[in-house]
Amino acid sequence: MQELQELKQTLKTQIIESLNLEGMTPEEIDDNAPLFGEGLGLDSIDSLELMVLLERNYGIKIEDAREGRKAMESVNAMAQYIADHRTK
Amino acid sequence: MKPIYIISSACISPQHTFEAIDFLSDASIVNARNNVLYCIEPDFKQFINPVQIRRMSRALKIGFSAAMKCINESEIKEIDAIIIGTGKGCLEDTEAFLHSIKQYHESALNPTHFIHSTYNQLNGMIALNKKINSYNVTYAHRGFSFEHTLVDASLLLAEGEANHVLAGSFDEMTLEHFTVKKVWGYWKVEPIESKDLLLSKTPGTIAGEGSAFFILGNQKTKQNQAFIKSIRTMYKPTAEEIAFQIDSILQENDLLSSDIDVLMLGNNGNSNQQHHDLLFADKFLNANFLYFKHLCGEFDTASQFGFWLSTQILEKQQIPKALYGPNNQHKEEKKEIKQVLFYNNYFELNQSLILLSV
Repeated sequence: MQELQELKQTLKTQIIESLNLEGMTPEEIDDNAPLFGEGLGLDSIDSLELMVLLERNYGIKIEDAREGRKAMESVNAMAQYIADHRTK
Repeated sequence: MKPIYIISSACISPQHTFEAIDFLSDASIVNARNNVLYCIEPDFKQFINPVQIRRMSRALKIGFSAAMKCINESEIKEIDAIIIGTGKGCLEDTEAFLHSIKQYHESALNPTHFIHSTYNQLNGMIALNKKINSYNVTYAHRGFSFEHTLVDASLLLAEGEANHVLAGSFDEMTLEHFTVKKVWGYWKVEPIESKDLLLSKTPGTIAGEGSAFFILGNQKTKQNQAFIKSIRTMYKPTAEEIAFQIDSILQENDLLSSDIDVLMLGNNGNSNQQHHDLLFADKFLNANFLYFKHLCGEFDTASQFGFWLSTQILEKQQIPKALYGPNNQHKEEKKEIKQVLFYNNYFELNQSLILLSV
């Protein structure tokens, strides 16, 4: 449980860095808020950046677009997906 | 050629050219540091929305802001073409992309760096932002990139395919690019102050960057800053070929060499380069000789800065002292500046002549 909590914190920092969300802190990202559309308001290029983030940092390669969409619904969903599929 | 009217312009450079508080007053001149002149950056948020800005590199922000200011300050509501020149495009993104190819063994590459490393990224962003769905071309022709935007614009305007064109160029200098070109001998080994550049007797020059944009039209308007009468580009020309092209421009416009009031010269203080000082001194006895590369540095599209200065001199009828050459030599100032002949020399390869008038 604590591991998942730490993972979420790390993930938020990585999202801010990789998407260059200037002026945003990890605390401002709600674990349950949608990453795309409302919430953080990310777009399709950001989704590609997040896929690169998953591959580089956790060795996860998402081949199925539908699976990717589900995995990147929120920080909670992403952290759980990483915990279940990470290879590094 | 048919005249091309310059309706509005904007320039981001290592000098205070964007805010237009004063026109290169002596006190405002910025000197090179470690042989590089970087742009003075405006408040980009005035021109770019927060969602876009987080993904944009410096070169894109500079180019986009210059283009937006140029469009916003123009009275023209409909732009028929976007033509942009760049020698190297967004270098910072290109370098980041190349580094990640190496670091991640050609896998898991960032899409943003890839997208922005393409030369035509700025064209696309301007088109999307201003909803201009027409002619859109990028010239990546090294030292001719800026000149080719003008040539293309002149053809579109002359043939009536466009009435108003946004033309301009941008290039940035990065530490990595500076270092690579230093190894190749492009820059001076010893640090040099901008004011001493043109007197230098050593090889190499100083590096620079910048962006300038112009709204060009085929009809005279109240907002006109100046107009272009002739353009020539020459690849590795001899002194005789340059002299021939000067004569051809003068003849084309029914002018004598004594009619030229100002010569704007792209000397860069490189002792390995022919600057044709004698050729110009013999031909233009009445003209004031002005220089610009000690203020913007050398880069593929440095001619944009000299060209922009030429338009400003014609519009303001004023010559900043900082443009006078070594030892501040200048002839008696004329009552009216009517004809400016611009000459650029990019490492002896790409050279151009442009005649501007008011």
